Amino acid sequence: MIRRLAWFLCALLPLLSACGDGGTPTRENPFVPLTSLEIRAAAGSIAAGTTSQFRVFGLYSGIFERELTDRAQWISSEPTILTFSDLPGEAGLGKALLPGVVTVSASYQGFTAQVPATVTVMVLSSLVIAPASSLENPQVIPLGFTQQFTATGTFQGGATQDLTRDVTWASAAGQFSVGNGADQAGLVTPLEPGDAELIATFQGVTATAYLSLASAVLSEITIAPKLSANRMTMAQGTSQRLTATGHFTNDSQRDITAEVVWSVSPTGIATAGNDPGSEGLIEALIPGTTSVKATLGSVNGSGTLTVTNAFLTEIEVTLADSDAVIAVNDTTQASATGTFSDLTTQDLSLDVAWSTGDGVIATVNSAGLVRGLAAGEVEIIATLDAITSSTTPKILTVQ
Amino acid sequence: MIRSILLLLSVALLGLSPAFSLAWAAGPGPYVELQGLGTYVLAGQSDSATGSFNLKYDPGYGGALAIGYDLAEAYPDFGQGRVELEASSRTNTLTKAEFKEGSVAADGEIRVESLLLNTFAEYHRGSNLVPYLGFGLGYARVTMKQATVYGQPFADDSAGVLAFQGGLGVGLEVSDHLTFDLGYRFFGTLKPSFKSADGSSFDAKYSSHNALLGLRVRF
Repeated sequence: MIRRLAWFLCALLPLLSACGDGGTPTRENPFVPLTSLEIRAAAGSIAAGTTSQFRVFGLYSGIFERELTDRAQWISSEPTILTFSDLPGEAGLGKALLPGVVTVSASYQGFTAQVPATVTVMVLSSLVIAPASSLENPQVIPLGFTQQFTATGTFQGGATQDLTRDVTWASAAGQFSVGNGADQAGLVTPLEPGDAELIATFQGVTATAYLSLASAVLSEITIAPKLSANRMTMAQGTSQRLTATGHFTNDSQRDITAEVVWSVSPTGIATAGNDPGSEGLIEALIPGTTSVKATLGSVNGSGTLTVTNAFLTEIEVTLADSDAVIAVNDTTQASATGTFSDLTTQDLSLDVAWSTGDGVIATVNSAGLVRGLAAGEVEIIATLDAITSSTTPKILTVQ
Repeated sequence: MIRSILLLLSVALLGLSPAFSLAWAAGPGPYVELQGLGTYVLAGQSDSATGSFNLKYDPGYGGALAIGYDLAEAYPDFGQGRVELEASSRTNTLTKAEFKEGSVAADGEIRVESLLLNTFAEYHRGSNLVPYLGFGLGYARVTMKQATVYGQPFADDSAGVLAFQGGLGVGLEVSDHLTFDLGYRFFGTLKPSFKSADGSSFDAKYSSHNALLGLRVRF
């Protein structure tokens, strides 16, 4: 009896040691104080009779930012020109009624941000549905899947605006259902196989998307990025976002990152995200080898992930604008690449803490999006584990 | 801590002296063991009404005192063995708290004081190296002491929970009275529930790897 117990204990200990997986946190950080709000508008000028989505972000002591669109109180200085609804799902959605200029305010926990908004009378000249399709090259949507379409209007004078929630979406022959208004506007759900047309209409202007509703079956899932022989290597303490592509029996393929279930086995070495917004996000915890799997129904794709104990030695910052020059109020995306002690490199854009050398000239959010505020030169800094990119400084010029 | 190690070494040297002849076929009898512990707390998920978060700690230290009885051949089935009552304390410093938005600096201590009833089976093969394997069950008082996150008060509370451990190691019998103990323990508790500074509560997870160096004195 004791002998059996002893062997059981031997087998149990490695399992117990794997129980150190902290898991992906779901709680918001309540300790870092909110220091300011920032409104980001979809369009500077809004066509009368349309809607425009305003979003507000809370900046928490330069540590991180959090979208507060749903929690903020939205106020228009002149509701007869631009008004906000209190309906669920419409937070920050401004409805442009009449021409004029208003101030849009978003308030949360004693902080208020304001931006001007201009409503103008504009005449729609064309409408485009995305993703693009044609009669010869239709958008393939397998039964059992959905596809989000958007509509962008171009007005006389050249201004463009997202009109996804303003157009009337319709199915020409009823082979699919499509959402309208606040109810999942532009989201197509196939009902029966066959060719179909999706029609968007606004102010008498129409656009058509061509669909092929296929009874194709998912046959394979591939995970990207992948290195040779489906092996990925990450340093412990870092994270990386993976995508899953579904391959169907009619040779079509589509991104199914948000639809698959991500998992790792054995657990403890890394975690895989499945929460909205973090689908496919892999966090490397401790050195070891584990299998990353993306599963949808009975089909799965997998790859081997090796987490190394390499330590970070250098961080290099790059900017999407290769000449590192942007205008005031323009933005550019910064990326961080880490070099580790085993001489491997890895994208650390999701892991580093972003900052700028001078917050008056430019700011950078937690996603590495840099915004020019005033003319001058400023260093864009990425920091992780006491390693900073300042040893090879990346200087941005704001003009 | 250093004083404890020096004490261990002093007693060990005494044990190696000629006065303590090598004769490691001792029979049943009581013993006392003093242990120094190196403790690594596993990053564990804590759960609250508003979601989960992770707390991370630096490696820490601890100590244990065990009073037991060596059953020798009376230990069933496995050769020989012993039972003991072990009081221990281990402390680790809180360094990071990980939330949805990422990790931020944290400070404070987690201290676990426990009283466990352990049993260890020993495998005697005629040499002075005696491998052993066993487990224990008991009570632990887990204290989150003056914990802060990003400089803000987080928790300062304690809770009593069921504790357990599994362990293995090897004893080096330097005389019929003294045995060096080099071992490993996996020590865990059920989730203690702490009150946060804001009045809400959260269930923390505590489990740790422990390396131990001990000295056992048999009477």
